[in-house]
Amino acid sequence: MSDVTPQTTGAGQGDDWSLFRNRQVPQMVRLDVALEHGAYQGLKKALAEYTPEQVTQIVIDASLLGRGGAGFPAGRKWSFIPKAPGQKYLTVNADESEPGTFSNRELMETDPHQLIEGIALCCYAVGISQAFIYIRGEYVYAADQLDRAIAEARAGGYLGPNILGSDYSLEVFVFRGAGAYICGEESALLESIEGNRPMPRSRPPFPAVVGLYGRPTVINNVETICNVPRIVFKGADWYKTLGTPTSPGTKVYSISGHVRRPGNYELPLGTTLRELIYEHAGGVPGDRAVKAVLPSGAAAPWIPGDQLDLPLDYDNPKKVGTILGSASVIVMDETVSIPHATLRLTEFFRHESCGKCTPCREGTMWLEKTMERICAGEGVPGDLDLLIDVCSKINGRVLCALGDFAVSPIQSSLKFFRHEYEALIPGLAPVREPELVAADK
Amino acid sequence: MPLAPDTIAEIERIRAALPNTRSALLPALKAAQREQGWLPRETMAEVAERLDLDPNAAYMLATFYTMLHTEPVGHYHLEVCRSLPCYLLGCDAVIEALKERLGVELGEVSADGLFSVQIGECLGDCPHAPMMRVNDDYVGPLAPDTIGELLEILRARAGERVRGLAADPADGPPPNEGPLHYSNAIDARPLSTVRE
Ligand SMILES: Cc1cc2nc3c(=O)[nH]c(=O)nc-3n(C[C@H](O)[C@H](O)[C@H](O)COP(=O)(O)O)c2cc1C
Ligand code: FES
Repeated sequence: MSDVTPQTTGAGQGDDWSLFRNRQVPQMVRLDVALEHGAYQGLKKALAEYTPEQVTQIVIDASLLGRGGAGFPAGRKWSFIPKAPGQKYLTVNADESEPGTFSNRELMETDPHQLIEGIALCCYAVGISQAFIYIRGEYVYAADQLDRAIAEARAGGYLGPNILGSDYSLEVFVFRGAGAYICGEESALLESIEGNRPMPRSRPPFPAVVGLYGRPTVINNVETICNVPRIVFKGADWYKTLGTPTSPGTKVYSISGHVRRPGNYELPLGTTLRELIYEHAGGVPGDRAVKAVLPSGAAAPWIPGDQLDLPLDYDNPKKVGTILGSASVIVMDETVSIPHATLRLTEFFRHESCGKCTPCREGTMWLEKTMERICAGEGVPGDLDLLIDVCSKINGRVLCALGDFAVSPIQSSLKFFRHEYEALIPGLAPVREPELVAADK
Repeated sequence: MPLAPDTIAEIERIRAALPNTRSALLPALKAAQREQGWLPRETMAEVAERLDLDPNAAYMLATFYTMLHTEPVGHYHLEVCRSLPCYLLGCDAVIEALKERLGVELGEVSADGLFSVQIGECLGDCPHAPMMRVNDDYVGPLAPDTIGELLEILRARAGERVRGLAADPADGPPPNEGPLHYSNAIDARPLSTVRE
């Protein structure tokens, strides 16, 4: 189906246009090395042949869907930015703090110029002269790579004033965060750059109209932007030969948990969960059975282990009540205690709730307390109904999706594994036959 | 302790590179912490004052972000990941082993001032689970029975280059040694592990 394979080395060679084509090339941060491996070809082509509107149109035609979670079409997002002159911004979302997500990190560490070229193309298309990369503070190495690559790109005329002799100018600033999951939420991210406590804004107005410093702002994920150079260079028709008709292109799937070869695998969209787990990630250690899979880190509803033939694209997961999200797949084998694993996720959301809206702040606290006592064997029979009730009072009543994310592990684990909770709650645990209890001893 | 001239120069550089002074606050606090190890109140106030901001603006950020420290930390600050992928691979036993070896509770500094331990959420290095952050570097996979040896190596290296503190080279982590695996080393590409 595609000419893209994840493990390729040596690049710009032949038909290899995977995002990771240069991941094994040493010193890709250096401009000379990057140029040798095909960097900035898309930018050169755009400046020579296309108007900004044409670049946006190519990205629209390619149906590039946002890779940060929501899957919103990138070209359409760009087209919402008012055409009137005046300051506008791009902020690239490199906060990447969803548990199980590590694809942006490897894209930035191994091929920083690919991201910079994508930024230059987006900014050319939208008419932006100042871009930010908002990178989580823990990614020191990736941020250092970006700073160095930006300096070299600027010295080489690929950034800065009058790029490649044109009248188009662009500055890029790497803004380093300091440890807060909420900063990945786009409006909290803007607050963080503005030097405020990073709490989400209520919308409307949307960032395309009132964004950073009150100006129209594009916000895209790292992987979304990394796709732009090859789309512009190779064209929308080429791009649509990858993936499925409604989810074109490749996705970097991050897979972790109980697999033999955890890591990033760039595969055509629509690859099944089974292929990802068994062919690419080497299957489950000890050949144990898969109990459940989290398709998008902590945030999205789960997929039970008997539904591994699900194609991972933007449509099919919706049919089973979940989403592709950031495609950070966490695999749990049959040895896992589902309530305990769920508690880990609930603790995460309670810790990361920014505290701005009451249902999320108070709700995640009560979810955690209830889950804790269930896991400690101190639950009471009404606790499962209580969990469901608290979830329903958070879901949809919050300013950003963090609260909605927080309820999904509880709701889906209760849907598929309710018996595991019941077994932990005195009074709900199935009464066992005396001879079975005796046999255990 | 007033900020060193290098730190002040760095803050001015950041301020000049950003469209808005308040945006320089977070990077400036990080620069101050890099120099002083943590953020005493006077330091926060000095940073805010340099940027013509209320000290409260600095305090508001310092108390929100996990990477900003309002209490002293060790020469090596260890942030051990506890999120689900690391949990599935046994991070809880690693955290217990660390606390026991160092004789500290979470948030405390070891008696020799060398180590502090904090738990953190997913650091984006799950292929190397269970893992931790050691100042600016990532170390993993970890195991409870090699933690002691790993701490000994760090202790022996405390006088050498340690990233994440003042005057450190920015060109990647120091070399691997024994059970000390820096997973953000350039030779750790691609980002993956093989497990059985
Ligand atoms: C709590 C929360 C955390 C998020 N974290 C990230 C993140 O780390 N990276 C990211 O790209 N998007 C994240 N998002 C989604 C962003 O808000 C936004 O939709 C995305 O960056 C848009 O980029 P895209 O259209 O290219 O996908 C998060 C959303 C929420 C609600
Ligand atoms: S869960 Fe520990 S690094 Fe991701």
